[in-house]
Amino acid sequence: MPSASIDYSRANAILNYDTEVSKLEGQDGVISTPFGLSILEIQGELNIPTEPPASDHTDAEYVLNFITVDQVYHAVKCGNLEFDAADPKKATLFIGKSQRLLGSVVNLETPLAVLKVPLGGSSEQEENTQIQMVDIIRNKIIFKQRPLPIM
Amino acid sequence: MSYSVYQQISYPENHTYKFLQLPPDLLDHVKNNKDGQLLIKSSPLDHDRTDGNSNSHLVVCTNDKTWKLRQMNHSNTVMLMNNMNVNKLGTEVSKPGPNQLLGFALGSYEYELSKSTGQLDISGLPRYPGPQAQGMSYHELLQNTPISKREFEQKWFDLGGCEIDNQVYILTESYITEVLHHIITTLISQQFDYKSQEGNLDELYAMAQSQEHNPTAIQTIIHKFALVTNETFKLDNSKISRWFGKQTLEASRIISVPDFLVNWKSSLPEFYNVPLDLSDLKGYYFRSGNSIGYVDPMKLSTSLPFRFEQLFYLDKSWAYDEIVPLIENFVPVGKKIDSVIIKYAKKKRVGKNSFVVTPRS
Repeated sequence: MPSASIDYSRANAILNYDTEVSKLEGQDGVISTPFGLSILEIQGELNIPTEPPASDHTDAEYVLNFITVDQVYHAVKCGNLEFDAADPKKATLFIGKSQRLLGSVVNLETPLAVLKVPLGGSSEQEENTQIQMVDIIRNKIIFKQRPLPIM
Repeated sequence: MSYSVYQQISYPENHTYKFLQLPPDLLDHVKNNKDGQLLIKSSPLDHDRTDGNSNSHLVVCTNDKTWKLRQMNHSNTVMLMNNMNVNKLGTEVSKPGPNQLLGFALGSYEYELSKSTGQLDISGLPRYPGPQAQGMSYHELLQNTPISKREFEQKWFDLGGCEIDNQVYILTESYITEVLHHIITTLISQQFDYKSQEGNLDELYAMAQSQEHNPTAIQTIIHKFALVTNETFKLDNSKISRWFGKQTLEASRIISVPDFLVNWKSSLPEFYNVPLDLSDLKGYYFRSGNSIGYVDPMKLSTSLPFRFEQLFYLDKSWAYDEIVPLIENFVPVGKKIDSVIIKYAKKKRVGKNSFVVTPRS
């Protein structure tokens, strides 16, 4: 790859608010960009299943944690994120029934561009094989502390 | 307010997501240049090296700026979330509900950018005049060089680069000297006032072609030694005299200063009378008593302690302003040049405003 072009037309539009994107209201506006993206960072490893449950899995409650995305991909519920009513920048992430993490929404020192990078072997059209800058994120929800038990 | 947090455990195979830090000037570029260019470039020339000195790296370039790209790994879990209340990505989930955050990518690193001037490595390029080569064109070289287009253009002519029959070459110093000599001699024979007059570029190219010089080589040489606009050029006489001085110095061994000045003067084209000042050649000579000798800064070590050692081998006592040009490009960012000199040498006052630099022992 001697040279690859980054298409940043969408990031340009987002920065200039000249498309359908507009500033979000309420808590969505605190955590997400107008395009709807956020970064959630946990200082540690998040242990989640790597496979969806088999069709004959007997634990119905466990199976309920799984959803499908765009009818093809699988996702699992990691927990619930709750924000303090008094301070919308304070967050608690409840994981399962026994752990909670305390965190906050912080500004990033340097804004982060989100690049959508095509992987080799793509059979899509030429325009979809270009690197795209899809959004620019200026803050993140960070959980720095050790997990606390849920009493 | 509460959100349900989901994380994908299987991902599309045709694309992935990465994070790129945006320094303020790059952010400005993205905001203010709707149709501008943004490139990630690498240097395949470096991949091909077999001497183990691969200096390969990635850069991000706009049309006129370059940033070096570094992958910064971390051990945190970083989830890129799509707020399904907004969902501009148009994702569909099997159990839609209020306030869902869907993690659709995980990042174990981000790309950090630091300002760079870009690099243009000409060491592998063929020389002109020389054997005919079959390699890269100008456009291909630009694509394959980790530097922005504007910075490339600025360095290209200065390094003596030119394109002949879709092949890039670097003009040899002797050829540059010979053609420059011809150009100035011809201009003077045509009553051209080299000190102040602006010349017409087309006329210059036509004149050079009649003397069987390659027009693209002339273009390189005139860009290297003149201030060029779209149609005109104005000679940079101090740069020209410095070029001839450097060539004369390089051709001499150790030579007395008066003899060198005579040789320098006689190397210039006839009737080309420009002031000669030895201080214009700082960074290319060392003194030995009343004589001077040529120092090739490209052949000195790039490691500061060894560089000082090599310089003190040539001369045990350097005038401060003569040693500075030979080391200033190697001073670490954020350090003052004097602190580097004091670390590897001694700085002594020898007059009201003059200093010498000598070895520590």
